[in-house]
Order: sequence, then structure tokens, then C-alpha cells
Amino acid sequence: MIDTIYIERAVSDHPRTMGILKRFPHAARVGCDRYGEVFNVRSQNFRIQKQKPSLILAQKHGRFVLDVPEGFGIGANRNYYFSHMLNCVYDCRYCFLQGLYQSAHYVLFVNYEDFADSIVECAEQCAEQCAGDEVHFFSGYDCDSLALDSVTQFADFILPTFQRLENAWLELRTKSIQTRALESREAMPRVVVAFSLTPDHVSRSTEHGVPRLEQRLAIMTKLAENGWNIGLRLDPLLHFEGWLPAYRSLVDQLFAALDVESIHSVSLGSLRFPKAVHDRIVKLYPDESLLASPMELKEGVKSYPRAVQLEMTQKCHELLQTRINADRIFCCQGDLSSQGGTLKSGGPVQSGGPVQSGGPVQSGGPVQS
Amino acid sequence: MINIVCALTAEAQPVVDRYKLRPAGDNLPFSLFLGERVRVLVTGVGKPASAAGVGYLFAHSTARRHDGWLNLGVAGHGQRPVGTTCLVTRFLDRASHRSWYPPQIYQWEMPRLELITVDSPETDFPDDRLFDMEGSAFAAACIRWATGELVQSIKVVSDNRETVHRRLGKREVSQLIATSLDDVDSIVTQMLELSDSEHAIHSDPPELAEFLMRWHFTATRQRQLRDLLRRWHALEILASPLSESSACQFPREVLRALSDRLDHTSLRIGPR
Repeated sequence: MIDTIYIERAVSDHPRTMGILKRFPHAARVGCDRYGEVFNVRSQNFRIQKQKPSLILAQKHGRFVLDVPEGFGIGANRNYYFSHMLNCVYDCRYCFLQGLYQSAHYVLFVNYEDFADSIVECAEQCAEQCAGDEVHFFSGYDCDSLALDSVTQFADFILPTFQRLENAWLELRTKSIQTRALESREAMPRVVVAFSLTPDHVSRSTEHGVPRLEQRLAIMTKLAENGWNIGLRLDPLLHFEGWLPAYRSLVDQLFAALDVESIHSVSLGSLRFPKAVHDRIVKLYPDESLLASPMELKEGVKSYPRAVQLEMTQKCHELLQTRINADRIFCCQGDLSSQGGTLKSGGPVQSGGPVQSGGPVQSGGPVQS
Repeated sequence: MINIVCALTAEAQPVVDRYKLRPAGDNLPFSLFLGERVRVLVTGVGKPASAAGVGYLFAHSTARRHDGWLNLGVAGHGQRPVGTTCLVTRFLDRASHRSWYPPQIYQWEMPRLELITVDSPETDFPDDRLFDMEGSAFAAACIRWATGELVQSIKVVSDNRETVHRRLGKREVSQLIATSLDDVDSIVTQMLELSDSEHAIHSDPPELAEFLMRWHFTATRQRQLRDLLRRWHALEILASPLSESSACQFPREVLRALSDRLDHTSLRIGPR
């Protein structure tokens, strides 16, 4: 699967590096001073590299925990995200990462302890500043939280950290069925395992490498039966001929498989990209039909025409409202919500924050996972 | 097209023979051999010669953005047996400490190693690394216009610590390259496939030339037209964009006609 591993000099002796190298004894090992020498340098092509990505083992510096822009959350006032990994093993045609980075290599930051320390520090600060407030941490913006977990074992490492924090929630966002780390332990009350979902036939034609919907439903059901909170992420909502019956069928499948009490939250958001990211993806995949639909440019964001966005979000919200209490449905939809009662849900329709390049919401948040 | 860049004629000759290339002519600053899909350039030894040769080939030939570039030659290594054929994973310039990392996307069963480019011949060969005198300059020059995935290097070990004091003749160099030609050919074939596919992806929509003949588009409108035609094909609209525009008199009407049709075409995904 991985036949070249780049290793930053600073982590060449790190026990996690050693462990991962042992898993890939035949991979070529290439040294580098900083991962930036290999990753995202000029004259690289994401689409070509995606055919055979390499793994880069590196040390993360700087800020480990970053603010989630206002309006993108699932109910908490304080929301942060972190990325122990850059890039994803799946190849979804709408993924913003393909426009964000020039490299498709997977970067894994092996200094997990620094992430944990920052999360603890951040949660403690929040507790001091506003006792009683919950703080949400999101993993899976720049990668799929679990897809490579058999190699990274990050979930095994980070879950105990959240067990100790009484005011902190963790969302693991994924499209994978790599849930061994969850299945092997007791369910944690403040962890949400959030699955990004599109209708089955859409997933099969646009989400390359992603396990079939029925496989994911089986895993979701199993996790839910074991007591884990499940998140449903209908983000991005894609517009195509027959989208409404397709999403109706998806919602039917989800609620037939899952006990509604196991569903922590559902979020919605239609396809959207910062213009620069959209343009780079079009250059990479000029024949991609998903990127040929009419889109409008507003305040630097390319998205479906406003009327289309509103219709999709409203209709999907209506579909969901018949199944689950509206206060568990969230719209992560940029400026749509600024109209206040747009979705008429009465629930926590989130006001949209700015769509910022480089942050987690470039294309409507973590649509890659 | 693949451009194979060698420092020595002795390195180039087996490739010239294998692909049945013909000399480009006399009075050229570099020896150049041409074929239908492969070109071989002999630059001479050292970094300046290699960079100049690559620049020459790009500027004075029909080399295009999605052509492949392969550096082929002999190199030193501490302990690997003479004749070992290696794909380069890193070009490291000893003088400047700069590195270039050719993305490892090709099937390759032989060793893959880092290459250190030095300014004068190396005799010590530390670590499990290759040593040459051109690689870093080749890489630095090529990635100015080619994507890194299409810039690669194959090195054949010509001397190690045991043989370093034995001076290789031209015939021996040619023999070393000749014995590695099957491996070279495997990379050339894969690079050609990639190069072809990149040219196809980035080629103009088939109707573009006809549109430009029928109407006079400004540069800005040509860009808009290209984008509309791209979307037209991506959405698999059966009607011809030319017939959709046949009643239009001016370019702006053409753009509007295409755009209107696209705005009223729904995306189809999978089974309907």
C-alpha cells in the first residue's frame, strides 16, 4: 500500500516512527530535514500523486489546536479542530484537499503527545473562563480521522485524553470502517463518531476507495449498539438529477439502521469551495461532471446558486425533522443561515461563519472525510 | 515524449540503439538523438552542462509541458555491486544542501536510493547513497516547467569502494547501461503513459478550433469559451455546442447560448 516513506530527521528515532517503519519493511526510506521539502512544493500534481501516495512522518510545530470558524459546530459555543494528519486515503471528487494541497502524500505528525497537551490546556482554559460550558474538538478536517488508524493508532492514543476531560467532546469524522480502536473499548459519553454520507450510488461514483454504504451502516449500527454516539454528516449535499429521492432514500436507510437515540447530531451543508480551491480542482479534473454544474461566486466562495442551496437544505432538513428532533439538526452552510428563519426549524440552525482558506471549512468543512 | 538526458555519449549510446534514434544534426551545442517518442540528449559532465542541456532541449525543441524527463547515467556507491540499477528518491546537492524529491509513483522492483550530486569526483561514498555530478542540476532545471512526477532519474552503479581506483572505459560504461535497459524501458513506458494522459487531459476541447474560426473571440472570451466547452463535455450534453450556437452572430451571444444551456442541464450521477 505504501512503498515510500519520507522521514523528517527530527523524528527518525521516534518510537512511533520505528513502529510504522516496521509495518512497512519493504518501503523505500527517504530522509528529509522538514516535511515541507517534500510536501506541497511547487511542480507537483495532486491528481498524479493520488495514484500512489507516499507517507511522510513529521513533527508538528506551532499551534496544535485551532479555532473552528463561528457557525460550524454541533451545539457548543467553543469549537476547535486539530489535524494529526494531512490528506486522506480516499479519493472523493469533491474533496477540498485536492485543491488545497499540491501533494497527495499523507503527512502524519507523530508527536501525538503535543496534540494531547494542547487539547488539555485548551479545555482547562475554557473551563476556567466559562465554567459549565462545553468545548468541542473536531478531528478529521484535513484527513479522515480513522481511515488510516490501523497504521497511526491515533484514536487509541487520543481517546484516553478525552476520558479525563469532563468539559470536552471529541468528534471523529470518517468515511471508514476502521473502528477497531472504538470497538475494543467502552463507549465514551463525550465522543461522537461522525460519518460523512452521500446517497449510495453517488458515493460509488464520486468517493473512490470509500467502503460501501451498507458496510458503513453495519459499522454504525454496531457502534451505536455498543453505546457510541453517532453523528450523521450530510455534507456536502450534492445537487444532481433526482437528488431529493436519493437523499430521502439515504435518510430512510440511516434511520432504519440506527436507533434515533444513538444519533447525537445531524449536520447539513451544500457543496462549496473557496474560489482558488475550486479553480485548482477544475484544472486537475477538467472532465469532472460534479464541477461542471452551475455554480455562483459570492464573497470568494463558489457554490450552487442560492436558490438551489436553500431548496436542498430546506428539503433535507424537512426529511430529517420527521425522524429526529430539530434541535439535533445543524446547518453548516455559510451565509444561508444568516437569514435567520431560512430553515424554519426552530432548532439550532447555525449561523454561517466565514469560509476561510486554510481553515477547516474551505469547502464546507470536512467534506473529505 | 520522453527526454532522456545523459552526461556521456557512452551512457547514451545503448539507449540510442535500443530506441533506434537518429542524430538531430551537426553544429548543435549538444548531441541530440531523435525518435518518435523518445529523445536523447548528451550534455557533458557536471552540473552546469546538465542544466544548460535541459534548458537547450526545452527552448530549442518541441518539448512540451507534459513531456517526461529522465536522467540516466552511472553513479558511485559505497557497497552496492557494480551494475545495480537504482531509481533516485532524492536529489541532494552537496554544495547548496538543497534537495528535490521526485515523487515515487512508478512500479519499480530494483533499489530506490538517494543521490548526492558533487562538484568533484567522490571516492569515499558514505552511507547507502549514490553519487554523481549532474543529478541535482538536472532536477532543478526540469521542475521549472515539468511537474515533478515526470522528472526522474535512473543510476547504474559503476564503481564502489572496492572498484573506485579502477578507471572505467567507454565500452564498460555502455555495457553497464545496456544491461539495465529493460529496467530503463519499464520506467520510460510508464512515463510515456503518464505524459500521454496528461496531454490528453489538458488538450483543448475538440470544437474550440471551429468556434475560433467562425467567430472572433477576445482572449478573455476565449477563456470563457474554453470553460463552457469543458463543462459541456463534462456534463455529457449530447447536442453539439456548435449547433447550439449556430444562430449566434457575435461571440457574446455564443457564450450566452452555451451558458444558458449549461445552466439548465442537471448533473446525472450513476443510475438514473
